[in-house]
Amino acid sequence: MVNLLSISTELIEIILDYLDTSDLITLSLTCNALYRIVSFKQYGLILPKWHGLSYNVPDDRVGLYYRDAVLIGPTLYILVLSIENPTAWKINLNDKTPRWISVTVNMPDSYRPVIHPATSSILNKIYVHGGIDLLTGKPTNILYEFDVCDMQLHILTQNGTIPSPRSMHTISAIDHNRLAIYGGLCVADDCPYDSKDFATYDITNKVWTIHNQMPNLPYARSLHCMLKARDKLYIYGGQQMVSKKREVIHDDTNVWAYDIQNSKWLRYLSSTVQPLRLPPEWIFTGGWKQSPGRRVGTAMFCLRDRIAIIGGVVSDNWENNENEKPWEYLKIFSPLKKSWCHIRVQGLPRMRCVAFVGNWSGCIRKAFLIGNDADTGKTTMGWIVG
Amino acid sequence: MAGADQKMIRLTSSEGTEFLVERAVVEKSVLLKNMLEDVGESDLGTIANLTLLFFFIPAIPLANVTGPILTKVIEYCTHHRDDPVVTQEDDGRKSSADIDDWDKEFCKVDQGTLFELILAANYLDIKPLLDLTCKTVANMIRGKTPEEIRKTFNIENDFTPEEEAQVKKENEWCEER
Repeated sequence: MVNLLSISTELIEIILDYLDTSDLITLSLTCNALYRIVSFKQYGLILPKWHGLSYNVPDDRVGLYYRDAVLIGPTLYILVLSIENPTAWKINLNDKTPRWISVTVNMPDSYRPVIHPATSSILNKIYVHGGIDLLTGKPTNILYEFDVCDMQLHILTQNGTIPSPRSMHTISAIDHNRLAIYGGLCVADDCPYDSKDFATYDITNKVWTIHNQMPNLPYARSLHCMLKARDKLYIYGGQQMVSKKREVIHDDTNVWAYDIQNSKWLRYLSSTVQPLRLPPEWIFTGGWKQSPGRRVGTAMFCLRDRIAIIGGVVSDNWENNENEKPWEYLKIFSPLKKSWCHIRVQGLPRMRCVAFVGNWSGCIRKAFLIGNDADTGKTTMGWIVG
Repeated sequence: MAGADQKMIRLTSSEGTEFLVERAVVEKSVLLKNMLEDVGESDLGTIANLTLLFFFIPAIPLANVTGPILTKVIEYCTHHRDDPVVTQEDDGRKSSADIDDWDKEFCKVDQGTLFELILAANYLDIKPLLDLTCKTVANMIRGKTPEEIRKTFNIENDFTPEEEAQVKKENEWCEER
């Protein structure tokens, strides 16, 4: 006789769609098979674990440049645009035992070395915007295009309203022609300040467009994370400089999303505030106690139809609870259900990181994380498997 | 009663039982609707040439659906023949509370039949029937303890005590608070 366990996983998942969290938990406690299906449905993962790669870690400069990591196909690239011998580190993540390889970058004549730029890719090109010019010590708004086929670095011309120099911001491709930058640390009259500039660059006509007049822009910030997922550009975390003494705060627990098709910003609120008469773009979320709180240096990646947040340094004190190990929790947000849940990644170190998902060989590899250990500062990388 | 111009379609269940069904009812199945559109108008029989239909028009074989289940599926599609076409839900929120009385009565079947209906609705691509039957199963799970769910669906608890403890611990944090 056909029964619940003999129908396909896809059909069971339709049934799960009609259950709330408490009923899903109860169902997962009935047997191994349903536990695995419920866990995969809820989190996209089953008993996730950290699998660190401890061999062939390149020098700790790579850890410093972790925010510049870019995935093209199965290969992760980190451009180290140093004063001497600028290098492209690359690692093929589909290899059974992936190893880093360094390749010399072919520099343009007017090359400027930078640190803390924002990096993204379109097809086989890596785009590097801004950063601190290592020769002057000041922020720049230089825009590089690096071709991974011939390892040639070009400086792109920039027209339109060019964003001011900045560092520690983010850049992301929002389609095959456009890059979007957000935030970053700028300097005016020798005073640093965090920006909430939102601008797009069209790589076909080399024109910048600033979108700062849009309503509901996220707060100013730097060292945040940004993710393009489906038709939205998500922004979360980061820090904001609040005084001339260069004190920083991490005070935003919300996730912001730029709806690319409708050109508007949405704000997913993680708070206890009861629903009031708020703008329709402000959306309350369920399960807020599982939300990621305040963080800087955090990774964000897609997990099925969810947004996953992990790592970073948390300004709340809970990350110091050695027994509970709260930094092991992978925070998962469902834009469809508008709710949070979380699951522990056993053994995950406390790290600032970025994360990448792809069609890895070995289906249990869910995300590759690279960054630096929050305690030792050493380059740390590995897989979330499950 | 079919109108004079109502086209009729022959369906054959897995045991070979034949069913003569109005095209409008058959087309509640996206699979069959697409199949009929691929075949084209000229190849289809009508009530006017019913004899010819039986002798010359081949029936559509449904090897994955038994006669009793096909009977239920036809009953459902006939009742809902005039319902508007279901569009993709865009907010992802699903409720299992909105089952009307006829549908509730329709789903009062033994568990084997209910899961066979899920399989048939999935195979024939009849989304409203799939949703209805899955909602019904979800309602059988809701509010029960793990042991009650095991009993309801005849599930064996294959967790070791250690696994059960680990799963419970993992889930402590997942509850909405």
